[in-house]
Amino acid sequence: MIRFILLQNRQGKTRLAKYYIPLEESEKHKVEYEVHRLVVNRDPKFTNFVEFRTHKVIYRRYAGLFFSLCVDITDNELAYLECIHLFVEILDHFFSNVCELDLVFNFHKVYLILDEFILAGELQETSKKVWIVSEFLLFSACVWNQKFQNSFSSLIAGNNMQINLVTIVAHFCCFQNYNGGANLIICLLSNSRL
Amino acid sequence: MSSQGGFGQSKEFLDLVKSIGEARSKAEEDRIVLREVETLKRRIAEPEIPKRKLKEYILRLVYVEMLGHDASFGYIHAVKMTHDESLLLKRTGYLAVTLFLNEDHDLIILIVNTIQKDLKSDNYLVVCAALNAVCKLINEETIPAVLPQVVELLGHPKEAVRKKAVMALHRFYQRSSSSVTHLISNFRKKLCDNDPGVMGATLCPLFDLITIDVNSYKDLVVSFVNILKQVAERRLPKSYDYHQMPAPFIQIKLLKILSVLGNGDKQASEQMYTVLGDSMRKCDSTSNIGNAVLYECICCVSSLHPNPKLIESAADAISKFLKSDSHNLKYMGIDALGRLIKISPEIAEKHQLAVIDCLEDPDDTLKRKTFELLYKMTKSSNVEVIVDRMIDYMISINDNHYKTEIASRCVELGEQFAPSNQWFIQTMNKVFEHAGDLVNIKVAHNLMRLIAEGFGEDDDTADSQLRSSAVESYLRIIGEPKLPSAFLQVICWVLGEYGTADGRYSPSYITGKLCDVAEAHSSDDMVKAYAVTALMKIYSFEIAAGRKVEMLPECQSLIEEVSASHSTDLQQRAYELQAVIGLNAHAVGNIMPLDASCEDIEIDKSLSFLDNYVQQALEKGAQPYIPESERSGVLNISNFRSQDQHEASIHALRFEAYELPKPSLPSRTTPVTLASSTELVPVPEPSYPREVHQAASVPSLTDTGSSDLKLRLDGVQKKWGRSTYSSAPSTSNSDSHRTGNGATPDVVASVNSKAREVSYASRRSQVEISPEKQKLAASLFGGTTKPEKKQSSSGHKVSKTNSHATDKSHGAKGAISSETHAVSTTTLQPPPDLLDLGEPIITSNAPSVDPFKQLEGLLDLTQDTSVVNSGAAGATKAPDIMSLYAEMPTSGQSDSVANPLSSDIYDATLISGLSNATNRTSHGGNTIMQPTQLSKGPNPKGSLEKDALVRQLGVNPSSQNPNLFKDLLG
Repeated sequence: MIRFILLQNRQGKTRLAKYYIPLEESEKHKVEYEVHRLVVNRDPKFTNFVEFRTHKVIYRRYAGLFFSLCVDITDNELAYLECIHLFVEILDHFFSNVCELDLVFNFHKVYLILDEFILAGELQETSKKVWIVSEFLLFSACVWNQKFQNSFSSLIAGNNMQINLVTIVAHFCCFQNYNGGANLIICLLSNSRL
Repeated sequence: MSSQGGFGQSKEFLDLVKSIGEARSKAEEDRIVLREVETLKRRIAEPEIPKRKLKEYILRLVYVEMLGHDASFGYIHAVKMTHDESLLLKRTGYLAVTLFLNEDHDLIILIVNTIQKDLKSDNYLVVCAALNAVCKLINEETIPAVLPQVVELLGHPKEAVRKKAVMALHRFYQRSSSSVTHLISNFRKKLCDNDPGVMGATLCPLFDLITIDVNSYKDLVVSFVNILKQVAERRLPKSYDYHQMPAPFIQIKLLKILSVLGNGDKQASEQMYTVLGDSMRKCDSTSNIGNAVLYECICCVSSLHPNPKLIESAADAISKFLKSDSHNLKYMGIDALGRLIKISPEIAEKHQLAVIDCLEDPDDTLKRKTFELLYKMTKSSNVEVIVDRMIDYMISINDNHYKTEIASRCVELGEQFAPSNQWFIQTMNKVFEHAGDLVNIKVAHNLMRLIAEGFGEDDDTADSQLRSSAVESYLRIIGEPKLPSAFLQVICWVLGEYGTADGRYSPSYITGKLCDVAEAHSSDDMVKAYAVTALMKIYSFEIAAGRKVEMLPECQSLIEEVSASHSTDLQQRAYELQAVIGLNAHAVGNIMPLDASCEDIEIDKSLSFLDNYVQQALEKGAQPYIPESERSGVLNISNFRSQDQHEASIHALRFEAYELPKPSLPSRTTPVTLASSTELVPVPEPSYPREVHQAASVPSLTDTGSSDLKLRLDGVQKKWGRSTYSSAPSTSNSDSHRTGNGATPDVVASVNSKAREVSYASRRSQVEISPEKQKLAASLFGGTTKPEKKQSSSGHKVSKTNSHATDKSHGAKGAISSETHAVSTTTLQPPPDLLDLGEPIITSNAPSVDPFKQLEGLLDLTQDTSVVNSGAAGATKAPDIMSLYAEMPTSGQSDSVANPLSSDIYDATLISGLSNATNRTSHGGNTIMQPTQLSKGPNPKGSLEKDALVRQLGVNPSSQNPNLFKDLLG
C-alpha cells in the first residue's frame, strides 16, 4: 500500500503532497523534510530505493523534481518505480511536455489527476485509454468558463454522456488550438462505447 | 474575463505562486503566506462572493496548507462547497476537503449527508467525486451511513464507478473489517467483471483477504491462473500495455496472490507451474517493468512447492539481475536470492562474488539488503566473518534505528552459531561498546549468565580461563570514555564476581577501577549500584579468605557519598557493604560464598516457617485469611470492565432508525458474558487447520540448510542451561563445537584476517578482485559439507573474476569507454537521466502503441517531419526558446506585442499573447509551427507558448531553480 506521495524540488519545496494514512500536520512536515534529505543527495547511480523508518521510499528524479512514493516493506520496488514513471507520462499527456512550472501553477489539476491514478493507497488505473477519457473530463471540469458553459448548457442539461463528451472535446480543441479536433470527436464516438 | 491568466486563475493567485517561487528565504516565504492568510480570512468571510472567486480562494487555501501553514479557518467553506450544484465547484470542494481533513475530523459529519446524496446522483462524475471522498474521509463510525449505497454502486453501468466502489469497499474493510464481513462475497463476484480495470481493482482486497485466510480461497486458484494466462497472452486491451508488457501491474498483483495461495500447497502449486513458467519466459528483461514482473515471478516460485525447473530459471534470472550494472537490479537480485536460498541453499554459491561486490558498494540501501541476505544464510561455518562485517558496518553508521536492528541481529547470530565462548564474549563486547544503549537489556543478562555458567558440564579450567579472559578484556576497556550503561553493568558485575578469582589482579587494583567507574558515571544510579555491590563482593571474598581488608580512601568516600544518596536502593547497598565488612570471616563466607552466582537460592513460597506463628495467632482468636478472590462483597471487576468496553464499541453513531425495544431485557446480558468468556479461551478455531497444513509441508520443503536459517532459540537455551536440565542435546551441541574448535577456526581466522587486509588493499587501489576476496567469498559461502568441490569451483572462479576485474578496471580508466556504454544501453534501460534532453526513454516508447499517437496517426501525414523537428526542439535549451519566441511576431501576424516592461498593459499583454497564439495557428500561415503542433513528442509550440506565458507573468528561469522550465520527460 502507498503511504504517501510527495513531489519536491531540489530545494525541498513541496510541490504536491498526498497522504493516504492519517498523519498529524507537524508529522507531515517532518516527513517531508526527512524524505527530501534522504533523497536529494543520493548518487544517481545508486538504487532508487531508500529505507525510511519502517517503510521504503521509492523515488525518481525528473529534471529538478523528485517524485517520492512511500510504500510497505514487502512491496515490489521496481513496480512502484515504474508507477512513478507512468504517472509522469500521464502528466505529460495532460500538460504536453510537462515541466515543473506546469505543476507549480496547476497543482490543483495535478491533485485531480492523482486522484484518478491512485485511490486509497492503491494503484487505481493503469490503462492509458481510460486515462485519456478521464483526462478530458477532468479538463472540462478545470477549464470550464462562462462562455462555453452558456453555449453548451443546453447540451449538457441532459445526462447523455455522448453529447457531454463531444462538448468536452470541442472545448478541449478550442482551448488548445487543436486542429484535429473534429476527427478526434469522430474517432472517439466510433471507438468507444461512451 | 480580463482577470484571467494563462492558467485559468486570477492574476492575484498567479502572483502569489510566483512570489512564493521567488522567495529567497523561508522567512520571506512565511511572511508572504501569512499575508495571504490574512487576505483570505477577510475575503472568504465576505457575503455574496461569486462562486468562481470562492473556488479560487479554496484553491489558495490548499496552496497555503501545502506550504505548511494552518488554513483551518477555511475548512468550513470547503465543506460548504461540496454542497454546490455545479460539478466543477463540487469537485473542487471534495478535493479541498480530502486534502484538509483527516478521517477523525469533526467536520466529517457535515459531509456525510452530501456524500450520501451525491452517491445517488445521475451524473457519474458526481458519483466518482463522492467516491474519492469516501475513500479518504469515511471513518469507522460513518461507514454504515454510506455502505448500502457503495454496495449498490458495485453494479453501476460505468466501469469507473464500479472500480472506485470496489476500492472504497476495500478501504472500509481495512478500517473496520467487521462492518463489511457480510459483503466479502462481492469481491469474488467482481473478479469476473467485464472491465479489466475493475478486475484489477478487485485483486487488492482479495490479496488482503487471502493472506488472512488462505484455505477458504483455494477454489479461486484456477480463476487466478486463468486470468494470469490471459493477461500474459495479451488478451487484455492494448491500452493496458506498459512499455510493451501486457498489463504488468495486474500481473504483479496476480503473482502476489498466487504465491500466497500456493505456499506450502503442493496441489495448488502444480496448477500454477505452467503459467508461471510462461510468464517468466515472456518477461522482457530489458525494461524495468519487465524485470519487476520477473522479480515477482521469482518471489512466487520461491514460495510455492519447489519445482526444479522453475527454480532453475529463477536462478538464471537472479544471476542476470546480479550481473547487471544497474543498482536497482542488483538490489532486486539480492532480495530474490534471499528468498530463493530458503528452498535451494546451494544457489548462493554461484553468486558469491556478486554478493561481495554489493557488500562493498557505497550505496547504503544495497549494502543493507546484502546484510539481510547474509543474515539469512549464516551458518556456524561463516558466522565469524559475517558478524565481523556486520559489526564493522554498525560502527560506521549513525542511523539509530538501523543500528539497533543490526546490533540485535549480531547478538542473535552470535547466540545461535557462536563457534566458541571466547569469540562470543569478544563479539558481545564490541556490540555493547558501540551500540550498548540500543540493544535489549536481556542480552546483557544473557552475557553475564554465560560468563558465570561457562560451558556447563565442562571441567573448571576452561571456565576459569574464560572468566579471566573476560576480566582482562574488561579491565582494558573500562578506562574508555562513553561506555553505554548496560555494558558498564556487565563489567561491574563480572569484575565483582571474578576480578580477583584467578589472583592475577590485586583487590585494591580492582576496587580502584570500580570506584573510578562509579565516579565517572555519578549520574547513573544503576551503574553505581552495580559498582557498590561489586565492591562488597570483593571485600567479602577477601574477608572470607582470611585476609585483612584495607579500604582505599576513594572507596570510603564513595561509600559515604552513596549512603547519603537520594536513591534508597543505593543507600541500602552502601549500608549493607559497611555491615558486611564489620562481620567475621565465617559469617561473611556464608553471606557471600565464592563463585556462587549460579547456585539456586531456595525460596519457600508457601512461607511454611510462619505456620507456627499463624497457628498461634489463630488460637488466640485472630480472623483466618481469606484470599482476595473469595472475599464477598467485591464484584468481579474485570467482568465490569469488559462490559464497559462492549458498551463502548456498540456506542457509535447510528444512521438508521432505532429498532423497537425488545421485551426480554436479560437476553442482552448473555452476549456480554459470552464475550468475556471467549477471552479466556484463546484458541481460534481456523488457525488449527492452517497450522497442520504448514507443519505437513515444512519437512518436505526444508532440508537441513533451511532449518539452519531459522532461529534456534531452544538450542541456545540448552547450551546455557544447567547440565542436568538437558543432558543429551547439550553434549551433542558442545561436541560439535569442540570439533569445530579443533578443525576450522584457524583456517577461518586466517582467511578472515587475510580477507580484511585485502579488502583494505582493494579499497585503496580499487582495481582487481584478488584471490583473497575469493577466500572471503569462500569463507562466507563455502559449505563445510563439501570442501573439495568448493575448492575446485573457487579455482574456476579465479579466472573468471580476473577477467571480470580487468574488464572493470578498463572501464574505470577509460571513464566511459564506448564499448561498455553501448552494452549497457542495449541490454537494459538506463536509469532515468532526465537532465539529458535527448534521452531515449520517449523514443523507446514510440513503438508501443500510444493511444494519443493512434488518434493522431489518423490525421497526421507529416509525422516524419514532426519527429525530426521535435528532436531538434528537444535539443534547444531555454534561452534559445526565448530567442525563437522573439522572432515569432515577425513571422506570425502580430499587432499587439506590447512592451512587457510597462505594468499598465500587463493584462493586455497576457491576452494578446494568448490571442496571438490562437491566431497564429488558425491562420495557418506559420509554416514553421504548423507541422509540429500535431506531434506528440517534444512539442516546441506548446513549450514556446508556455514559456512565453510564464515569462509574461514574470517568472524567469532564475538561479533559484534553473530546472523550472525543463521538460520532466526529456
